[in-house]
Amino acid sequence: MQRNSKRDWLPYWFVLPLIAFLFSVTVFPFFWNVWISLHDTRTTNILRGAPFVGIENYLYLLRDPMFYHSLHVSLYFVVGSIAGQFALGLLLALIFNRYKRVAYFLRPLFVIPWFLSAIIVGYSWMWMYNYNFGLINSILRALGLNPVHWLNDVTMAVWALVIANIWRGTPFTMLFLEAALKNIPNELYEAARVDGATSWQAFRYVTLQLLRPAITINLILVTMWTFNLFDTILVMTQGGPANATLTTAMYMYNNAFRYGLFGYGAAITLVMLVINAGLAVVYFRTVGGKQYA
Amino acid sequence: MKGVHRWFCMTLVTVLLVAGVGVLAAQKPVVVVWQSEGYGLEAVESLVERLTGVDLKIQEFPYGELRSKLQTTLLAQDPDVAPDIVMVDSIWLGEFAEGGFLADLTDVVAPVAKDWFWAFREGSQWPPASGRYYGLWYDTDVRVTFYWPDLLQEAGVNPGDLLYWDTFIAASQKLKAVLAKKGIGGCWLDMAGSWAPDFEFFPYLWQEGGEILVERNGKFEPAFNSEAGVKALQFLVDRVKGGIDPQTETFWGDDFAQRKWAVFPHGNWAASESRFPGTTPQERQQRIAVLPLPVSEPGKTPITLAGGWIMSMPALIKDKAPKRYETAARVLLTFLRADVMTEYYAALARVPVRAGVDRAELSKSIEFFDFYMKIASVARVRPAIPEWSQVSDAIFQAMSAAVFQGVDPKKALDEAAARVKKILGQ
Repeated sequence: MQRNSKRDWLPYWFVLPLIAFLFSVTVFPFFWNVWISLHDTRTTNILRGAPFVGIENYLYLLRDPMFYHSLHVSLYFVVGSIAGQFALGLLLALIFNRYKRVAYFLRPLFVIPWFLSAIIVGYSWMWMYNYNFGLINSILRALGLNPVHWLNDVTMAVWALVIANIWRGTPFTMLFLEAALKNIPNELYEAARVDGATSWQAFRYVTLQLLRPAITINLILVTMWTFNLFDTILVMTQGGPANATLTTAMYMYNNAFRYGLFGYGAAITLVMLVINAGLAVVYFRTVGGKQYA
Repeated sequence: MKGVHRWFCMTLVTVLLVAGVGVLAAQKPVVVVWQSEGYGLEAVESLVERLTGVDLKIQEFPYGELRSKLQTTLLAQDPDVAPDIVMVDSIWLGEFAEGGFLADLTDVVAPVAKDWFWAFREGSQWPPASGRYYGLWYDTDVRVTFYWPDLLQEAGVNPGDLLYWDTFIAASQKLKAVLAKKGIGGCWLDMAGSWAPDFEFFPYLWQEGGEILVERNGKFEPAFNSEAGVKALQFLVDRVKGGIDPQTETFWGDDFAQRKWAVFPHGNWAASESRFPGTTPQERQQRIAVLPLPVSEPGKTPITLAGGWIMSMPALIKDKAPKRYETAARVLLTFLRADVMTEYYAALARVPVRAGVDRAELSKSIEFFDFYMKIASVARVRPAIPEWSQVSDAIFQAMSAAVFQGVDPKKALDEAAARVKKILGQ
């Protein structure tokens, strides 16, 4: 009897180191972050002990017009990036799933942007967008068109970032959806054809329906990554011109690391976490369909 | 047999000697120095090692990373992971000193600080002019106008036109019109990041008699929205309206060295060997030329901005590792010797912050040396208050609003001043 109960506990002892590791790298930092956000933690007082301010950082955030501005910019950046990445990724996945030989040659090329770090992507696009010497404006000039102030224009800059982000993010959606497409049995398309379904109807009622779980997970991941992205923006625009590309992630970075306002930065991070979680729930409820309802 | 015995003894003695030297070398105290990428203290590393008998370990980090690494490492409060000596950007001084990250080095550096030029001596203290030193300013840089004389000649522009605000704009228009078809920009205008006010606003604000902040009853207040500030910002707007394209990307002078710009108002590093590899100072002086930043009218002093780095030490080394502190303080004082600083300036073409350096030597190894020294004598430094990065950002936003969104300069500066008041807790 005693031996049995010992055997029951044994597996838990084996997973304990892993749980302890996960606790130290995820759970502890989360609660530490919460603790910091409840204090007026700054570079100038962190060693002496920051004063407890309760939810003051969160209340300040609700009154902070720049925070709302950053949410507004993030909305454009996230929606634009996801729309582009998803549309292009799905299109490429469908093409590669259907034309295997094309996929064999082109897939490795299309995947390259995903392998690059966000910083390198930022620098590459910054050079290409350069008004005077950039590749894109050189092409425009060669075609007899006027060069564009890609990163200097308050209305254009965010879309310039969206294009760069779509370029980098599309391969992930492409690979993710292509893998899901391969799991759809061919018999379903044959049955649809027998029932007289057109290509569009087969795509809509077979392909899209069966891709829903994959699309849901893909959208959640891409939304979170895009909402949290700051390194490409830091390299390309630093949130400018005139705060036109100041996303919430950039605003958090500025407060925590440039201004040394760790408490306020932590509060922004937690609000970002809530927004991400909320968006995930919305995706599960809407795109995920009954499976996740 | 005797010979073998002698050989054996000699070999043994040699081995023991080599091992002994090795052990002694291994026992050399190690002093870790942190610097920003490219700062170049390696230029005097062997000299300082020779003078102090320590083993220097100079480590460098990208600018932003140095700041965050300093914060996180010093927060850990573990001397084992902390450096002995740190180079801090002069604008970080207030924040790091106030936060208790930096050691009060008054006892160590005050006796030698007398030789430093006034602005840099004051700029090494926190609170300002308190007499409490947290290190000493090691080098400086000045903002000036560089240009390619042949490109100006090609466009029919007289270099003297770059000396005054109105003729500067007209000259830029002319340069752009003539050089654009060759893929060469006329005049550079930096709107690339939060440092833009250093180049495009503060010097002109000071030239017009304005101040960034003023201290009243021990508290700082915004003063940049004065009449002088509005005039300085209007000059920026006028330059953009006059056809000078604001640049949101910066390559820190590499593009100027590659003749992508005819006129380049920038820091003096834009003419250094790092931008023109393999050239001598004399060669660079023959190829490019330099002028002070433009002023609004003749007779005004071309005040410019001087930046730089302060050589300091972490407080926790002083508090928790007294032996290391003692050694590090000795090394720091060696770094601050006039002959060592002369060698450093000569190798890196940096502008001196003190009188006692060998000017004759430096004028041979630094391009435009006498000009830089003259300009440095009228240069001003930024107030290194703890909230500086927020203040600077607020001013940059005012500049951006005026340039990119057409907001009236007065309104933009007033809004920024209201923000700064809030930041400073008023």
